[in-house]
Amino acid sequence: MTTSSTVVAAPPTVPGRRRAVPWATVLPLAVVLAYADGFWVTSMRGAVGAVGRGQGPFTTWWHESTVLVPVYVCAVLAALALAVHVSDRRHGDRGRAPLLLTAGLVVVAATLVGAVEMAVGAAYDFHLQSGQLETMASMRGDCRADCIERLRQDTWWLQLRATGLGAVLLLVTNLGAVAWVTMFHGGRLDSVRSARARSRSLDARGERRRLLALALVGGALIHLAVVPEHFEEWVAAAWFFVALAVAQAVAAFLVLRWPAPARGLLLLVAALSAGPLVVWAWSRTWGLPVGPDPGVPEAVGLPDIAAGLLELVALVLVVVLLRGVPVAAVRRLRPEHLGRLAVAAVLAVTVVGVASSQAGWFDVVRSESPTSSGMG
Amino acid sequence: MNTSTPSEPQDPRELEPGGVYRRTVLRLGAAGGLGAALVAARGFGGPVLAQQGLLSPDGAFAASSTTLGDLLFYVEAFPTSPLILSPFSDPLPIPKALAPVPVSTFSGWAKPPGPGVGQQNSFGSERHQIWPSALGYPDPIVYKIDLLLRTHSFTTSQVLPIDSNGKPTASFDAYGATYAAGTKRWLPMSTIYGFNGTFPGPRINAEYGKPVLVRFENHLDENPLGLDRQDFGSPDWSFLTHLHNGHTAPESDGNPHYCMTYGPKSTGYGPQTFCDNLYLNWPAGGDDREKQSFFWFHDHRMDHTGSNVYKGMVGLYPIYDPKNGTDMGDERQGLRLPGVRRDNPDGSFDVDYDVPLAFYDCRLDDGVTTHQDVHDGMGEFPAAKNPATHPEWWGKTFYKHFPNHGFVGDIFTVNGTAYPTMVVRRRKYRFRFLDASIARIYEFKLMASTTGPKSSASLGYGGDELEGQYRIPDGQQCMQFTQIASDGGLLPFAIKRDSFELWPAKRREVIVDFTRYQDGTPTTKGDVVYLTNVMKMPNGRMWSNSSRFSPDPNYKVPVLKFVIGDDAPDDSLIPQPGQLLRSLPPLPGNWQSMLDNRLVFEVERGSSSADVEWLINGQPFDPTHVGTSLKNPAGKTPLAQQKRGSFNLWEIRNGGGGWVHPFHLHMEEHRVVMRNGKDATKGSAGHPDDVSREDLTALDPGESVIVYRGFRDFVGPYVAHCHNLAHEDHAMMFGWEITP
Repeated sequence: MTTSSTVVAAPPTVPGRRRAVPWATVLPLAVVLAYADGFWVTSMRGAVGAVGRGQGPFTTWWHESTVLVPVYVCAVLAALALAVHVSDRRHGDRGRAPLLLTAGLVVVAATLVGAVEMAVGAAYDFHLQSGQLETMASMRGDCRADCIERLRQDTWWLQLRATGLGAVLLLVTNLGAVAWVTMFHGGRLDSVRSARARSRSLDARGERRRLLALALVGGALIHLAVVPEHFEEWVAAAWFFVALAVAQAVAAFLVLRWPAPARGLLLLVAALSAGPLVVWAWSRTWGLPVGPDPGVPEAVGLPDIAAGLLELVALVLVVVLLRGVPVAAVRRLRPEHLGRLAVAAVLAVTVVGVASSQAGWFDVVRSESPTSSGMG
Repeated sequence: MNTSTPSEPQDPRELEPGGVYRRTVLRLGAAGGLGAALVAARGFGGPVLAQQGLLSPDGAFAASSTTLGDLLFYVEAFPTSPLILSPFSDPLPIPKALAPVPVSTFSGWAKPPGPGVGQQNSFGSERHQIWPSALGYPDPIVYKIDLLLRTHSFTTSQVLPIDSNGKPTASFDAYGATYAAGTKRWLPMSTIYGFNGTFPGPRINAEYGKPVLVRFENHLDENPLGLDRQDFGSPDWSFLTHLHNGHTAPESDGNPHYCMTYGPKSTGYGPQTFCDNLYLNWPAGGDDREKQSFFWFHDHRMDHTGSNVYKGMVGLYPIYDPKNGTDMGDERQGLRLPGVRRDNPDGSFDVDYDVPLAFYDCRLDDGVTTHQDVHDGMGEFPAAKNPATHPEWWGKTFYKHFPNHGFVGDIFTVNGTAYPTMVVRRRKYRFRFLDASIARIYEFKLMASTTGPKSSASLGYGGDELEGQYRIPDGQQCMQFTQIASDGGLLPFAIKRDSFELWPAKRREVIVDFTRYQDGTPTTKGDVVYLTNVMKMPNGRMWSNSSRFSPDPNYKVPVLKFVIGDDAPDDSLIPQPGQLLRSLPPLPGNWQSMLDNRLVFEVERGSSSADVEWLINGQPFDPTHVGTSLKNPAGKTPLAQQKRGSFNLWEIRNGGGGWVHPFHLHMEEHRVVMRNGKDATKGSAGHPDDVSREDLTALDPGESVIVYRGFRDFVGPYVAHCHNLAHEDHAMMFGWEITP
């Protein structure tokens, strides 16, 4: 591929301009990489995953790949930020990073995301397969403890090999995908774009507020998404989540409304974030004292992890805003990638959290698992 | 968005010769590459995927998963069997009728058979649901069949050990000796678990109206010959016999989940136990139109059906219809189908010119292929220390559980003999074809050849192309079959066929007239006709070539040699066109109104799991539960439970993935009413037998079949499953139930 040796000339660092995120590069890359990696993740699951988990692979692929696009946006952004950082340190020219460095880092970042997805899937497959082994052994009675352990080890080894080989496949695929996108961009891969400068001090404070509001809205969306299932299990919990979502949405609105949110409002947001976190940790560790199963710890799921993460982010941002980090500490020529990365990360967590709360969207377990009746 | 791009002028240095910017060239290259890849995928991959039913979004993923599994994970390695040097020199064995046990003998047994509580098995825990007297039938004729550990030889010919390229290779023996490449050898005897110690096992010639009770007694723990059991067959030496597809009560039907819940409460009947299987020889509902004509019995032990069948547990059970002499084995009466009946003094009878042909493909160990399968981790056969090679088993049958590929052999046998010869009289014969293979599907033609069989190795073939060992390169079809019956018994009308497919467990009965060729030319003594397989099936997934899909004119594997002999009297007749053989039970006039409430079962591959790979409706076989239908057009997901005496439509779908599935429903035969959404009551392309009754439906890739079936006479649990035994043994089965 001829483009690999291309050295891109650094754009001039013009006073009054800022180094913004090249979304025209980031978004196509993220989409192509997410769907390309998703193909192998889904195919590998079909080859070695838990039985029943490989059904409807096309739907699984486009669901999961779509949900993970924001994660790939994060990966590409992080790679570009790192490329710019390395380039700045080497050349000090405040320009665009070399193509090979940029492309290489994007490939590595995307491969990491894909490999983690594959590893998490493999771990879940192993969990399901282990259970299945015990079920089958109990049915037949000819496979006892040591036999189950041997089968479990075989399964573990199979999943480990699949993850390793899958990572190699992802790496090769991502190399091809990045090369192809680069060709489509005419042999270049922008790591920054030049845009009109804004008031940095205003931007820095505003970004934190906006991020806080986004985290609150993300949490609210996830809590709303789990309301229907809680209505079936425990109505009080459903209403709790409705109230919590409304409170978080109102708080987000208030945070956005004033450029400098009042200390009282920030403390209220802190309570709104810390409270659910404590309740969540309690319910997963010791179980709630009330409800359908008092004192029984609940299972940890993707939606509650996502919501918890967003509440943690909100809490940290409240602390930062309360402390008021001096604006002067921000370097004027720093690229905007990290700020956008934080936004993208919050979006990614939100999307994963909401999608994983919906049956058949980001999992695994067949949504239409038929009920069955005892024999005889 | 990208503010830098429009503001930057094109660099003149990027101009390619001819004045085109390099950037443009790259963009065109990217677009062109994508387009070329799509066209290539469509052009080259499309037809292949279409043939395998994979030309769909899910199919593309299935193909990808399968390829990954094949390339990276599966260890399903087949040995190459040694080349049989003198094929078509052994005579075709034709099993004789088994003699019944005299009343005086079985009445003296410590636990004689009978209708009482506890008399159905050695555990004293079951009774026969319907004793013949309840139907006005006489007491059953009693047979006794012992499960024995014995030996079997597939050929008396010398063999030449060859490798996968067809080249001579080294061989071994049980004493540790190694023989140089090119050394001709005699095969050692293979170890079998056989009904009465033979393969195939006994033949019971049965008749409607005369019930049969077979006591199957397990002696597999006894090893009087000091045989090496090798590393396949049920590891606990248990068995469970299914009369395929007798209209039989659950306790006598060999249902694996019944066996686990009742009777032995185990996966099978262990050593020194017995069960009495009562075969009423009563057509479903007492309806003569439901009479069948050819059953077989085979092992059905959960998880090891394939290995037990492969190890020899196969028996034959033709069933005749004496009513009005319709089909009683006497060509002077009734339909006058070929057959000359000889009643024996022991109460049995044999029928000349009425010949069962049981097809079975096997692999013989080459001593260098590693024995490794998903069962290794389960601690089965610890003495084998698998994964390992076993040169000491060179030349003996090789079997491993290969759930992904299925198991196909490279030596084709008929009635337990590889490439036999049958000297036939110049007259008509009735042949009862049975596919007793694990996964192989055959397509048979009758061919003549002037040059005779040549070994595939000598023709330069290698790898999978060696399967079958011999070919007749100049083979030409010379005769036709007249098909008179399928697995459901006599067809309504006979069908002339150039060839027919035989799927696992299916039966097809044909008449062959050896007096003349299809062009009318008379045959002469000494003429040779080869029964030839023209379906290439390199693995247990599906064919690569057959008459219906991409015929390979070079794949003509002779499996049985007919040599025309002397004339013989012949009172039989070939059914005339339009002559009714047996009426089909009528479909209700409103059958189409039943479609919305049908039960729907989709068979599909799951993914690799230690012992469970194949699913029905997304679930592996659970012996403790009845299955559940997928959502039907009425929006319901009914349980697989039917009231006794009811009828219903069941849909069986092939969920795809590049496999075909011979799907078998126990208890009553069915009738196909729709195939792929089209009315099939008048037949369907590629499946002429759809106009008959069947107990096994052949599902091409991606096909869907709706069958009409009844649930009469008995209550209790039954199973339905894929009869690719590698699939069945790895969970492609569900339980269903008839309720009072």
